Amino acid sequence: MFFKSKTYRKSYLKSMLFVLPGIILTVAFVIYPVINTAWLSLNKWNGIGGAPVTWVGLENYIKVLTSEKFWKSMLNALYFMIGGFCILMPIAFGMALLVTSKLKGIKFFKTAYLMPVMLGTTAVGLMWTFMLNANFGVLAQFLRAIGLEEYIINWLATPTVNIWCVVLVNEWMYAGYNMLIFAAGIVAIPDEIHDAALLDGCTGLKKIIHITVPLCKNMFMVFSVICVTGCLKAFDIVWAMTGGGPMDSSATPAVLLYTQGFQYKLMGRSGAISIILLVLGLVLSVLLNNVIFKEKD
Amino acid sequence: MKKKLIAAMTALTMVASTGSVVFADEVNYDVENHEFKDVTITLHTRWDEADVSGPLYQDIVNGFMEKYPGITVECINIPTESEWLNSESVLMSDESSMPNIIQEYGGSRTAGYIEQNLIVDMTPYYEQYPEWKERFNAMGENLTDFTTYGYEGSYGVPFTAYQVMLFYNEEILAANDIDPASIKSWDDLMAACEKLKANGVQPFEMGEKDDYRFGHLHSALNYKTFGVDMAEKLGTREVAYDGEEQKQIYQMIKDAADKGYLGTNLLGIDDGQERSIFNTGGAAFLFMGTWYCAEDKTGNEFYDNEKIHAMRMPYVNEEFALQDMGGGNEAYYVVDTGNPDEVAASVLFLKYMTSEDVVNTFAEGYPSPLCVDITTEAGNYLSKEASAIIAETEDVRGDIENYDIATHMINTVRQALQGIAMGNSVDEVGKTIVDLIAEYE
Amino acid sequence: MKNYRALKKLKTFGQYFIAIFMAVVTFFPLIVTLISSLKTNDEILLGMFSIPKVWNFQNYPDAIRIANALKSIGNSLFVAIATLVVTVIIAMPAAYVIARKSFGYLKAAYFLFMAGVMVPVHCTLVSVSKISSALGTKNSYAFLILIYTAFNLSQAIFLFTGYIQGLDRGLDEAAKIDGCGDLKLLTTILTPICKPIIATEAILVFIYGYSELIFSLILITDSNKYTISRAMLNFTANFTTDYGPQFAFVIMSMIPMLIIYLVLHEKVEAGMLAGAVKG
Repeated sequence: MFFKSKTYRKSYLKSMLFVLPGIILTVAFVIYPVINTAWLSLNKWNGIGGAPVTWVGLENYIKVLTSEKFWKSMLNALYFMIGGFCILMPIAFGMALLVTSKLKGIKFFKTAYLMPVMLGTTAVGLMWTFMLNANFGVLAQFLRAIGLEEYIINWLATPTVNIWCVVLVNEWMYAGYNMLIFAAGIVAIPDEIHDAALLDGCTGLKKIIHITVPLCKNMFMVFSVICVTGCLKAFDIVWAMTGGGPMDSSATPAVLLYTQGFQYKLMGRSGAISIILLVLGLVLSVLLNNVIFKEKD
Repeated sequence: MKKKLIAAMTALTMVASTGSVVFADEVNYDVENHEFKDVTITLHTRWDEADVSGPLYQDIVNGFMEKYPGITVECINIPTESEWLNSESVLMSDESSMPNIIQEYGGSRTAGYIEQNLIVDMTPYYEQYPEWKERFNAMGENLTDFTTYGYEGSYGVPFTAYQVMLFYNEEILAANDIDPASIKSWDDLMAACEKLKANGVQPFEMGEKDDYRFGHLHSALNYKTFGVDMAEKLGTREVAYDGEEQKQIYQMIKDAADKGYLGTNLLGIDDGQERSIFNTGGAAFLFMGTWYCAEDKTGNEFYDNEKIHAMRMPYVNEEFALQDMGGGNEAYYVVDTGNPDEVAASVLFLKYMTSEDVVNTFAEGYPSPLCVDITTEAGNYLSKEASAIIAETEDVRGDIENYDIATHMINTVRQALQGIAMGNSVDEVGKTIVDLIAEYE
Repeated sequence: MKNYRALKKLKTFGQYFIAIFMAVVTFFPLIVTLISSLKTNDEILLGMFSIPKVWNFQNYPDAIRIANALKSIGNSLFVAIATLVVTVIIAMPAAYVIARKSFGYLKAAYFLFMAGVMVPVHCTLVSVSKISSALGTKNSYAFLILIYTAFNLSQAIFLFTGYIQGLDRGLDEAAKIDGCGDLKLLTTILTPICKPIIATEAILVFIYGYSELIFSLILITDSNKYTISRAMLNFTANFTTDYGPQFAFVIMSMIPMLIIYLVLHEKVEAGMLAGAVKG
């Protein structure tokens, strides 16, 4: 750092070449559209080419932030996050421990756990709406068989219950997917550490808590960021299962953004929701990155 | 590309020299004698390849390309509503990506395109070919006439038509000692429902998960109670969504829903399941548009034995017994892309699509009412019953929310009506709509 | 000692119990799907969890015909694999320099990529469509693949950076002393070590590319080029109630995914066995 030598300059430029293709793609297809959206969020536009775009300043933001619909959708996103950290994370990590252990038939389990995500969201949504149907669904069939008929309700049409159904289906679908991330982290722990732990009599749960979890810190961080942002953006599975309804009761912010933009043709307001989500996602991940994960260093 | 450039330059010089655009005189409306060389037009539709109508539409496209080798027609067919809407919205958001012909349903969304001068007015083409104009009946007017929005002219070429009716299962009604001929009014229908329900038979099994179901019921009941004029009154907000008249309609739906007549799992099933249940004898009635007549009924025993029949939607106020929900179902609008060749080719395509032989072939394969007159005895027994009912209808209007100035109304009202299935009171339904109108203004 | 062994046995039993339980939870809906794919439509609506009275194999040929299933599966495979390759080639070097160098602009670049993770897809549609019309790339797979790559880069760089940061720097230093340049270090030393995370990300990208809908809907209009999700729309139309072929299509579309997964899964194992990670 003291002397900006020729090698430093060379390395400086070379590194730039390494990141440049990624930056170009991201700027062209992700950042540029976002800038466009940010600009739209300060305007009123009905989404039709050639139609006037009128400057309204922060009006869209004020309207969004004072709308009950928006806060309801944020609550639904929060449910997604709670589900992500309290259900998905332990299950995915547990699965990762299992598939990296020395059990027989691991290959089978690993493949099995990953299968739901391969079905694609449309198929998963379709399947589960059928399973959860109060008339002919599997769950209703089951409850009827064991005499708990009074507990059969219209799960996907009852506010709060419906969003939790979607959250649980989401965990069902993505548990195997997140398992992969944790498994990659567990596999990267050097053998010596395992051996050393064994010598110290550190086994079982103790080993997991004191050795595996801390050494997978990076992967937990990766999971957290993907989870937080994924929850804020949750769209596909909600759309496939409930379409956000009835009466927007299961709508997430991303569903709201879509309906406001493409159905209601309020492009400015839709843009404002996008930007709010983006900023919130950034703030949350920076917080996660710096406060929770860095301090332990 | 070159042509576009030349067109743009001519336009520029014209503007420069005269101070105003004088395009109109330049256009040649005689599309039959227009010379086409390597013209490609794009159609954006909801045609469904898996549906009975899918191959029929495709035949129209193929037949057209055979007849006019200079024109290539590319179809973007997206059958599911949300994805179709998504795609249309994105493509129509910029001049460079607009398709040449869009399939739409009239209403304020289409009016929005007309406002931006994006939709070609068909009037001069009809003047060029008066015999073409004569082929259309009055059913498609709701899709082509935008005077309520303040636009003169005739936009779009209407194709299929519909009327919302009541279909019933004769066998089930007979078994419960109900004479379908006795059901004339809404009260008669409710009485029949009560009887069925008491006998343990489900009258309706509506799929309100697709919120257009109550939306249609709301529109139809409005016309049956207050006449079709209610569409304009409500559209201009002369009548309020939380006023007494509308509350009366919500109350009718709510009463029927609360008594369980409309379904056992209103929000849990969709319109496809709704029809499936009716087709297999799980419900006595089906409240549906006449497109039901044309749908695939392979393996439907009730239909094969002619046990399913159509009747007019019962009236609430006898004065309006012959006013119904219906009209044009789909129309095709030519988008003004600024390329005269493409516009001419698009008009020519729609002219071909609505020509006698083509329409007859279509109607034979898909027996649904059309906005174009047919000269064939096509149809199944059910579609003939439906046609007989339509022939007596005095006046029709489409979705009542579509007569509103605001594009969001159709979604707003349908969503609020879903509240009835969730147990909301009529006051809450009205309040939800009015609050949302305020929020979006 | 005996106690210890019993405990260990119990532990293994417990592990198996959990593993099998989770597998059952995972498989149950899949089995229901498989059975449903062999039922007639009316029978599906009567109740999902039952053995079909009539085994209806017609759903499969129907699905193949309606959705042009084989063609669309092939298209999806191509797009997914190409996306996967391009993503890894672009993300790996970027992740390497971000994880190992400390130039100021790299922090900014990392922040940029991270921001990419947060962007809701729908707000980019109008702009992406505009870029596509401007470049005249309608129906171009190359453009679609670049879009897919752009939307996967953030996560890829994120995962790779996280992984490389967790690796021992000693390895790099040793290689540098041996006269290894950045590129060589990346291709010959780090990439093999990173095999598990590359395979993981490859699977994630593959799943995305294989089943993505929104962009393919807007950018690909030629029905010969339809990908799986797009082709599947032909079933899920509002007025179509054919659930049987839909389930059949789901089952069919899963098969190539499974094969790819099994192949990549082998690579993960290979990466582990290579010993580099453990060393």
